Amino acid sequence: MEQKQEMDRKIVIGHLFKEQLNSYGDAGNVEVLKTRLLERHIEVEVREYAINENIEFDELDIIYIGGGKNREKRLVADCLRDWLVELKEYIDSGKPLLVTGSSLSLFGKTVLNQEEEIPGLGILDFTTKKLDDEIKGQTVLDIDIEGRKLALIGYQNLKEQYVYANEDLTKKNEQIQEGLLYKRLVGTTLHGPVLAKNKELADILIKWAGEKKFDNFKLVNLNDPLEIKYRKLVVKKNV
Amino acid sequence: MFFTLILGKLAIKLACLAKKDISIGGKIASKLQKNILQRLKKKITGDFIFIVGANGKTTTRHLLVEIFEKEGLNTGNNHHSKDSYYGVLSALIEKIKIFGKTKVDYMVIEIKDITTLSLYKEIVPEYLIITNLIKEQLSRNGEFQSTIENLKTSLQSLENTTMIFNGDDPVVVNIGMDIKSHVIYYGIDDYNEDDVTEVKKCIRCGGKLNYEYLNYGQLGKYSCESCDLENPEIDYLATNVSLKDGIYFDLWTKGEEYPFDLPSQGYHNIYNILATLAILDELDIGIEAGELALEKIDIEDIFVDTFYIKKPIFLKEANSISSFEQGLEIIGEDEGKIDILFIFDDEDDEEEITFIYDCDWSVLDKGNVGKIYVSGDRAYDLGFCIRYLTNACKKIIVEENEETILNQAINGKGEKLYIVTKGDSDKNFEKTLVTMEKKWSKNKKWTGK
Repeated sequence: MEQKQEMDRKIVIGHLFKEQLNSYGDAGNVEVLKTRLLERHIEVEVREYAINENIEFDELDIIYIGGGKNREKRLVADCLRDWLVELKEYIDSGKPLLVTGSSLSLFGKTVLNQEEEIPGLGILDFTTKKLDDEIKGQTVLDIDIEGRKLALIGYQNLKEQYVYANEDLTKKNEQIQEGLLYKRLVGTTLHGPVLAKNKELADILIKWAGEKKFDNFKLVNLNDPLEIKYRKLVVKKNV
Repeated sequence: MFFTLILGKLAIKLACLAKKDISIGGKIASKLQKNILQRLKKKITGDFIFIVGANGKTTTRHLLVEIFEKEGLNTGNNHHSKDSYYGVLSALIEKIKIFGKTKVDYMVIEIKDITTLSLYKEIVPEYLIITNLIKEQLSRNGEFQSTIENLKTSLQSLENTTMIFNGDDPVVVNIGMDIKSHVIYYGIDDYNEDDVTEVKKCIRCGGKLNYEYLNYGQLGKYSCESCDLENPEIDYLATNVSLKDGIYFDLWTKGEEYPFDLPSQGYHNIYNILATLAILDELDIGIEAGELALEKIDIEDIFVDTFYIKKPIFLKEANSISSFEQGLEIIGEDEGKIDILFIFDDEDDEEEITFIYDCDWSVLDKGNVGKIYVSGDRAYDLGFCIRYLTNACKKIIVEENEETILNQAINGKGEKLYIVTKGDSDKNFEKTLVTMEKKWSKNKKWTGK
C-alpha cells in the first residue's frame, strides 16, 4: 500500500545545459538522483534543457548544473541571464539546486581570470578570482549541511577562489574552497559525478525536494553496501 | 556547405585529439545546414554497405573495413562514435573532400540504433546486412514487434539494394519473405545428436515454431507448423564447425567448398565472418582473398588475448577509451554464461576516468552476465558508475586486491571470463595470466572430455 502511494509521487529533475556542462561525467549526478528516487519507488522525470530552450522552472523539483570550460560557461551565463527572475524565484522558494565544479562561479558577481572578466549572474554576493596555485586531485571536504557534518569525497580541480562580499554567506573563512550553501542551492567545487560517492548529499537533495512537494514526506533508507564499504575504506586511508 | 564541411571537419579533428566522440562534427553540420545528409550524399560516390542488427555489427564492420583496406580499396566507415545518426554524418564529413566530388570504393556504415534506419532515406545502400535481430537485445530500443515492423517498412523501400541476411534467424527471414529486394542468406549447419529441440512462438503467424536445434538466441534450425516460415536455402553455409583452438569450418557456396581455420574466438563470430565473406564474394573480391585477410587480421584489435585456466579467459588491455568501449561491445555479443572482471587504474587526467559515465553499459544488464568483478586503484569509481547506470548492482563485487579478485573470478560460476583492463600501462596483466595458465596446465587434472 505504501509502495503504491509512493509510485503516485513524481519528482521532476531539470538537467540544465548537459551538452555544454558535462566535462567530467557530470551527468552521472542525475543518474544517481534518478536511481535513488526509483529505488524508493518515486517516479522520476528528467528534463534536459539545451541553451535557448524554454525552461519550465515552476515545474522542476530539483535542478542540476554541471561543470564546464570558460567558453561554455560564458554561453550558459548569457542564456541564464534571460531567466534570472525565474531562477531567483526558484532558489528563493527553497527548492534544491545542485551546482558542481567551476560552474558555481556563475552565480556570483564577476569571474575574473587572467585572460578575461566574465560577468556572473549576480545572484549571490561573491566574486571569483584566479588562484595562483591550482588545487588538483582527490580530496575530502568537510561541510555543514542539514545540521550535521558531512565529509564530501571527490575530485577537485580548483583554478579559482571565491571571495565573499556578504558575511552572511560566508562560513568561517573569507575564502573557502568547499563551495557554498545558500538556502537550498548547494554549490560544490568538486568535479564530475560527485553524488555517486556521496549518497548522503544526494539523499539530502531528494529529501528537500520531497518535503517541498509532498505532504508528510519521509526519506526511506536504502541498502547501500558498496557505499558503506567505500566510506570505511576512505576513512581508514585518511586516519 | 563549404563552411559547414570545414567546421564539421575541424570539430571532428578536435574531438579526436581530445579522445571524445566524433559525432559532434555531424551535430554541428546539421545545425548549420538544412538537409545535411542529402547534401553530403551528393558530394560522395561509391558503394554504400549498411550493417543493421542486434549484435555483431561492430565486428562485421571492422572485418569488412580491414579487408577492404588490405585490398587497397578507398574505404570509409563510422568508427569512434556512439551516436547513431550524427556518427554517420561525421563519418561522411570526415571522408568527403571540401572541393569537388569524393570517390570512394566502399562506405561501410554500421547503423548503431536500428530505430534510426528511416533517417537515412537519402542514401540507398548497394548492400545491406542484417546480422541478427535477437529479441532480448532489441527490446532495449523499445517494443520489439513495432521495431521489427518499422524496420520492415524501411527495407521495403530499398528495392534495388542487395540484402545479406542471417538465414538462421526467423525474425530476419520473416522480413526477407516480405521484401522485393534480392536477398542472399548465410547460416550455420550445426546439427549434432545431442542438440535439444525447442518450440517458440512464430513471429510470422503466432503458431508453433519448432526448432531442431538452437545455436543462440532464436538462431537455429526452425520451421513453423502453421505457416511457411522456415530456414531458407542458404547461399553461404558453414558446416563442420569446430571451436577448438580458434574457429574452424567449411564454407559451402555455389557448389564449392572452402575450408577455414582462423585464429578468432567465439561461435557468434562465425556469423560475422559469413556475412563478411558473402559481401566479398558478391563484390567479386573473392572468398580466397577474404580467407587470406581473415587469417592475418589482428584479432587483438577486435578483442583479445585468450587463455585457458579452468575456463576460457579473454583479456582486453584497453589503452584508449574507444578500445575500452569496443571491449564492452564485443562482450555484448557473447550469449554464453559469462563473468566479467574490470581492472580500472589511476590516470593523471580525470577525464580518462569519468568517460565511464558516457559509455553504453547495457551489456551488463543482460541475463547471461553473472558476476561483475571490479578491481584496481579506481575500482570504486567504476563500481559506483555501474551501480547507478545499470540494473546490475546486485552482480557487482568490488575488491581492491587484484590477485584475490582474479582468483575469485576464475573460480566463479561463469563458463567464460572476460577481463577488461584500463589504466596503468606498467602493469602487465597478460604476463600474470600467462604464468597462471602455465601453472594451471601443469597441475590440472582432466575431469572433462
